[in-house]
Amino acid sequence: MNPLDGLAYGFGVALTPENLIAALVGALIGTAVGILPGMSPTVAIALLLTPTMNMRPETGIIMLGAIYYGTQYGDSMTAILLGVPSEAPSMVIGIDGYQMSKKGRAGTALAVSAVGSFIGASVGLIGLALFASILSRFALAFGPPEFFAVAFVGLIVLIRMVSGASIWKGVLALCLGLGLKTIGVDPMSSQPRFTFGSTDLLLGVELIPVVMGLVGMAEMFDIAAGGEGLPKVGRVRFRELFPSKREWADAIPASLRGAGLGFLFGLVPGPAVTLATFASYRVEKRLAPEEVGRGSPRAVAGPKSADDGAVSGTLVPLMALGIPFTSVTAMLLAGLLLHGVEPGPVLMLHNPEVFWGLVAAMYIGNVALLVMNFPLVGMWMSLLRVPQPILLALLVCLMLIGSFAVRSSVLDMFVVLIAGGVGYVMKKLHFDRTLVILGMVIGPMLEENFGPSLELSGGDPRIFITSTIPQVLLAALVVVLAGPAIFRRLTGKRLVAPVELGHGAGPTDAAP
Amino acid sequence: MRRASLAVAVFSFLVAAIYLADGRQYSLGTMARPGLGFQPLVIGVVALVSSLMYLRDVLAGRDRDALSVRWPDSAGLRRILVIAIGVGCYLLLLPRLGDLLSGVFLVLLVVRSMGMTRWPTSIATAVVMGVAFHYVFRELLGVALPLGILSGLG
Repeated sequence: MNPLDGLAYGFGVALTPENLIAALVGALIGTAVGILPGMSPTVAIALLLTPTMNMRPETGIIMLGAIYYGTQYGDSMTAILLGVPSEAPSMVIGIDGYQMSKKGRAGTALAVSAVGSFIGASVGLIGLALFASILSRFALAFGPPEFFAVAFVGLIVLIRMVSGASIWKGVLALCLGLGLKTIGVDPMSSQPRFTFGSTDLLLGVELIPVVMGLVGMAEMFDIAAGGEGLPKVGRVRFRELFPSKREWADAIPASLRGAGLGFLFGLVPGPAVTLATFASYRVEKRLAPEEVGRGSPRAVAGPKSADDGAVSGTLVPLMALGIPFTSVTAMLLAGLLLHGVEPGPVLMLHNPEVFWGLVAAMYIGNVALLVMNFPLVGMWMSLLRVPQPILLALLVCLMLIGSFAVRSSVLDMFVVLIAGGVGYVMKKLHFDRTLVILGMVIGPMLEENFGPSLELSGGDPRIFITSTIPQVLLAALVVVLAGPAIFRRLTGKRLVAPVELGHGAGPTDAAP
Repeated sequence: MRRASLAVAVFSFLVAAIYLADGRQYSLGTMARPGLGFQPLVIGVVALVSSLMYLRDVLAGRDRDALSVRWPDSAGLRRILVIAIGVGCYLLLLPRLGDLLSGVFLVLLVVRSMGMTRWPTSIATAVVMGVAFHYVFRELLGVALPLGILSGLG
């Protein structure tokens, strides 16, 4: 199926009443959850995986996709209105967005952010349809050595890109994730490993409770430690939501620039969404140094568009290869697997309704977000007025019950609590929690492809470097690892200036 | 605030060493067919080396993040502990008391620790939220939360 036929088929799937409702409800729930402090897309998807389990696969995945977009939009609203985003990309959007709010231009900031989001998603979804179908056709020829090489090189690049002051912190975080996934019955040999005689551990450590704890519960602890409530939210009148002609003229080209940039960043393993929003912000700063930083609509629209473009980009390796490189796509992978859908090159052959339905539904979800969020802005803001004790109790209970619901295990609730403590310490010490999550997802993939590769070659490890794809990937890895140092030595300049996120968040906090 | 980073480095080293030692009971297999112990061996060695390298980075002052860590004040720490212990108690009580009563207990504890000062409001909030969770998750979504001592009531 070519991309055009695929999109037409996808709209056919997405426009059925059931799927349309799932997209709209997902976008609404996602926005509501994203607005809440401490709730990132990863936690939102982890929380809402359970209710989608009883749906048809395409309906469930469409809803999760819509939740993803909705959460991002909700988080950028909090960043614009209060200056307290839950994740790094929204922090960038909030730099000028919050400045605009303080000047009484919150409505304009929300409007350009919504339009930027729509443009970013539109460009990104076209890119997703094109790239994923090309890449998945190409990946049909992949065998275990190629999959191993992609996952392995991706992880190394990821560690290099997200580790802050010490790369070893990234490696340790990854080892934690990889190690957790070795607990339980090994699917290849059906023998137990690291179960310490416990029958509960035979099923292994489930990803969802770890995510809930590591990211969600850790955020709850952080909010509880802070103690102080959120700043007061002002009122935004409907008529304030319409920017002037000049503001549109600035915001729309910035959105288009951000969208393209975002999608390209999304294709690369690493904190793509954060890097994309920063890159877009820098482009706008270079184009209008006098305006950006003082409350400029272009510095809201560009990064927001890059944010949504990058989200679509991150879906390409997930859908085409079955390999996630962000924690959110790892959760989407968990969702796909829960529904019995195997992502990867055969997804478009075996479950075209899931892939094309998701692409079309994301588009519909974005239109819905654009249309609904203007009139509903007052309602969303009222969520921020819920007293913090109630909000915290609500979220803690939701996380515990949500993790229990996956396989009716009280042990999983204990995992949430323990992972919460570990996640809180990791957050404070700037360890990358994304790498733990990705280690848990990619670890089994590495093991499943490593053994069969060696079996194929009769034990010759050169199988990992003799075919073209691993060779190309290894060359790319050398460029990524050694390139910046060589550039610095030759020119005396840094290839990319260090990124300062402020608020104690490392670039690593991007994905959760 | 380097002490916390040092503690984490040492703790990571110990965990990696225990993991590696425990992983020795599993067969490494052959080159053509790696066994159950192969991946744990690789992970354990990498974790062990990484924890040592991280320790070196911390001691050498290369981990700049370690210097800017801001831990909560005593009141903040107390709130975290109350919530963590509350969740622990909730999990221990859940199979015995059931989701409804233990849920009410947890909500009450969280709202009180987060500064809801009036008892009647706190109790009312806890009861309403506990009942709402029970109804939505157990009755509407069919999540098999334990009923505990309420199981006899049907």
